[in-house]
Amino acid sequence: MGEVELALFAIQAGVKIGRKIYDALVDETVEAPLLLPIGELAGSITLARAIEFFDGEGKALRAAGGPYHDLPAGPALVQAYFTVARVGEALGPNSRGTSDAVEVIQNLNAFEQHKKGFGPHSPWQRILGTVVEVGIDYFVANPQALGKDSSGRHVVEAFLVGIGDVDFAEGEPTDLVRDTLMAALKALGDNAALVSNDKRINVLLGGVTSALRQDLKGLSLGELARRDQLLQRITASIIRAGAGAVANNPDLFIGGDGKAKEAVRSTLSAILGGIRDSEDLFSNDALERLFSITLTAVGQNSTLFSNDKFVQAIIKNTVTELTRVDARKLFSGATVEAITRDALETVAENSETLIDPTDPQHQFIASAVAALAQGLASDLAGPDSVKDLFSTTQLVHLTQIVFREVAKNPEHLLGGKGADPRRTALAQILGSVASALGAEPSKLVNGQTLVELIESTLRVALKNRDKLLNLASSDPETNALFTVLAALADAALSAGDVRKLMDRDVFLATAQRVLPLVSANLDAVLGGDAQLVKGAVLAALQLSSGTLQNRINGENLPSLIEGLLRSVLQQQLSLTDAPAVANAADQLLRLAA
Amino acid sequence: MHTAVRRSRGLLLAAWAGLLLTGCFETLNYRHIQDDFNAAVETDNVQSVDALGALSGTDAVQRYTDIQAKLTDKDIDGLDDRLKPNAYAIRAVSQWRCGKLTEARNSAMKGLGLPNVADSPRDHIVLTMIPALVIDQELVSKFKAGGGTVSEARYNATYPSDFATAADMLKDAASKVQPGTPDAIIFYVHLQRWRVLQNWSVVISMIDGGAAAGGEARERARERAKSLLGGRDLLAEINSEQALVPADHPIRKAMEAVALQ
Repeated sequence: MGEVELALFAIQAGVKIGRKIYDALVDETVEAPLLLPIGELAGSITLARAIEFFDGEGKALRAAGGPYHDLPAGPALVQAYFTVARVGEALGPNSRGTSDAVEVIQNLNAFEQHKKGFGPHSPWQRILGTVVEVGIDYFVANPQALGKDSSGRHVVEAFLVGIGDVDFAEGEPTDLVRDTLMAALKALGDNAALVSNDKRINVLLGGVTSALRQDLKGLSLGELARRDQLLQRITASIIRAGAGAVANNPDLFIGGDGKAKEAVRSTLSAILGGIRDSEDLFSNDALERLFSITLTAVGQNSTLFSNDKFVQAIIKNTVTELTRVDARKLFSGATVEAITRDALETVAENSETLIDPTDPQHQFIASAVAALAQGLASDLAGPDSVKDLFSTTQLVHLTQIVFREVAKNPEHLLGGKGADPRRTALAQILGSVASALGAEPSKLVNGQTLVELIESTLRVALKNRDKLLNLASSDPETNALFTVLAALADAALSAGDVRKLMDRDVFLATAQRVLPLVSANLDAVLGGDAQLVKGAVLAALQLSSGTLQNRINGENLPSLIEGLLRSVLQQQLSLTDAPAVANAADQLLRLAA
Repeated sequence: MHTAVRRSRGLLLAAWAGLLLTGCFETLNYRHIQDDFNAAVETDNVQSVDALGALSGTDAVQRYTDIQAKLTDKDIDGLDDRLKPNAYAIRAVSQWRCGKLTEARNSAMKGLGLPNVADSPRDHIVLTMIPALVIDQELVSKFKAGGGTVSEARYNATYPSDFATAADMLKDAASKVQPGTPDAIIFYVHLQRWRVLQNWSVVISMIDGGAAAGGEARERARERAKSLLGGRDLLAEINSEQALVPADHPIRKAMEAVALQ
C-alpha cells in the first residue's frame, strides 16, 4: 500500500468512527431524560371536595338552619370540611366516619345557628379545632373509648353542646377549652354512669367552661400564671364533683337548661372568686366537695344562691376571717377548707335565719368565725389559750356546733350588724370557758371534753345571756358565766380531791349539771362570788374521801354535787353544817342508786 | 487516471466528514434545547404546586416561547430523524403550556405522523396525550375566563362531553404501552388523567358558584359525569387513577401536593 492509499484508508476509517460518534450522540439525545409539566388546575381541589361533601353526605350541615349555612364556597368551607373529617377521624374506626361526624355536628345546631360566620376564622372554628385535637389525642391514648356509646365520646359531644352559647371572642386563647375538655375526659371519660345523662353533662361542662373563662378575664400575667396552675390542678376535680351534683339535683334544672348552666357557672365563679389569694389552703378534694355542696345549695335555694356574689361573699368572708392574724393561731390551714365547707352548708340549710333578704351580703357565719377566733385564740381566752387542746377534727367539729347554734339564733350569739366580734355573746361565752379553765386547762379538759363543755355552755348561756354575760365589756372575767366556771375549775383542781375522782369526764359532767342550775339561781350564787358552787364541789369531794368514800365514785359525783348545790340554793342545806351535808349526800346517793 | 480517481474519492470523504461534523453540531445544539425545556418544566411544576399551575407572567412562559422559536418545522426537518419525535413532543408540550392549544395539537399530530415515532415510546406517549391535554386546557381557560363559576346550562353545553373525551383519550394513551415504555411515563399519564378528572370535578363544584342552593344542579352534573365515565363515579375514578401510581413514586407525591390546593 502506497502513501496515497494509506491516507485514503485513514480518511475512510475516520469517517466510520465519526459516524459511530454521531450515532451515539443522537441516540443519547433521543434517550435524554425529560421533565414533563404537571399542568394547570381549574381551581382548588380541596374546595371541590368540600363542596361535593356538603352537596351530599354533609348536605344538612349547609342547608338552611344548619351550622354551615352561611358559608360561601371558599377557604371557610374547606376548613369546615376538614373539621368534619377530623371529627370523623376522632370518632375512630368503629364509627361511620364523616357520617357520624355530621351527626355530631348537627347536634351543635343549638348554638351554631346563633353564630354567623362559623368558619375557619371564627372563634368557634378554632374552638372546634381544639376540641378535635384534644379528642384525637384522647382517643389515640384510650382506644377503648372509641365505641359509639363510649363515655369519652359522650363527653366530647356533651362538651361541644355545652359550650355552645359561650361567647368566645376572636383571638381568645383556646387553652382553656383544651384544658377543660382534657379535664372532663380525665374526670368522666371512664365513668359511663356519670355521663349517661348527656343533657346534664352538657350543662355542667358549659357552665364550668364559662366560669373558668370568666375567672381568667382581666388578670395580670402573673395572676394568669397562678390561676392557670390552679385550674390545671382542680378542673378535673371540679367536673367530677359537678357531675355528681347535677345528676343528683333535679332542682337545678327547674327553669330549664339555661338556668342550670348559669347556676353551674355562677357557683363555680363564686367559689373561684371566694378562694382567690387563698388557693393553697384548698385541696382538690376540698374544692370538689365545696362545689358539690354549693351546687346542691343552689338547687335548693335558687333565688339567693343563684347570685354568685352572695355565694362568693360567704366563702370569701369566711376564708378572710379564718386567715386573719388572730384566727391563724386557732385555725390551721388544714381546717380552712373544712370550715368553709361547713359554713356554706350551714348557710344553705339555714338560709331563713342566716340570710337577711334585705341585706344578703351580711354574713353571720363569717362573724361567727371571727367570734370563734376571738373567744378561743385572743387575749380573751387568757394567757394560756386552750386552742392547743384541739385537734383539727375537734376544731372543725366545734365549729360545726357553733355554726349550728348560730343558725338557730344568730342575733343572740352575734349581735346586730357591725357588732364588735369581741363583744358578741359567742366570743364572750368562749372566752369565759377558756379563761375559767385557768393556767393549766389540760388538767380539766381535753379537746373532746372541751368541745362538749363549750356546746353545753353555749346552750345554757344563750337561754340566759343577759344575766350570764356582760356584753358592755369585752373582758370575759366580768361575766357571771366566767365566775361560775372559774369557781368550778378552782374547786376541781383543789387539794380536796384526794381520790382524784374529778377527771376530765367528771369535770365535764359536773359543769353540765351545775350550769343550768346556777343559771336559774343567779342571785344566790353570785351574791357570794359563786362560793356556793365551789363549796358544793369541795363538800362532795370531802365526803368522797371520808364517811361516804365507799359510795361516791366518778359516776355519781356530778349528780351529788348538783344535788347538794340545789339543796343549798333552795336554802334547805348549809354547807357549814357538816353532818347535815353528809346526811343530804346520803339521801341523794340513795335516790341515785 | 488513477491519481484523478483517488483525488475525487478523497474529496467525497472530506465532504462526508464535514456533513457529519455539522450533524454533530445540530445535535449538540438540540441538547441545549432539551436542557432549556427541562428548566422551563422545572419552573412550571413549581407553579403547579404553588398556584394551581397557571403560568402567565412567569419565567417558564418565556423559556417555552424560546423553545418554540428554536423548533420551527424547518429546524425539526434539519434534525436527525431519530430526534424528530422528541422535537415535536417538546414543541407540543411547550405550546400546550403557553396556551397555544391548536398549535400544540398540530405539533402532536405531526409527531404522531412520523414513521419512526414508535421507536421513541416516551415521546410517543407524550404526543398521544397532547390532544387530550389541550382539550382540558381549553376547558380550564374557559372556566377561568368565566370567573371560576358556571351556570348549570352553560356547564351542560360546554364541559361534560369534552372532559369525558379528554379522559377517554388519556385512558387510551395509558393503554398504549409498549414493552420498552418506561413506568414513569405511564404514571405521568395517570397523573394527567387524574388532573383532568380533578378539573372536571372542580368545574362541577362551582356550578352556581358552589353555593348551597346549587347542590342539586351539581348532583345532576355528577350523575351525568358518572354516566359518561361508563357508570363509574367521578371521585372514585380520580382515586383509582391516584392508586395506580405507587405511593412512594415522585408523581404520587406530586399528586398529593397538588391535591392540597
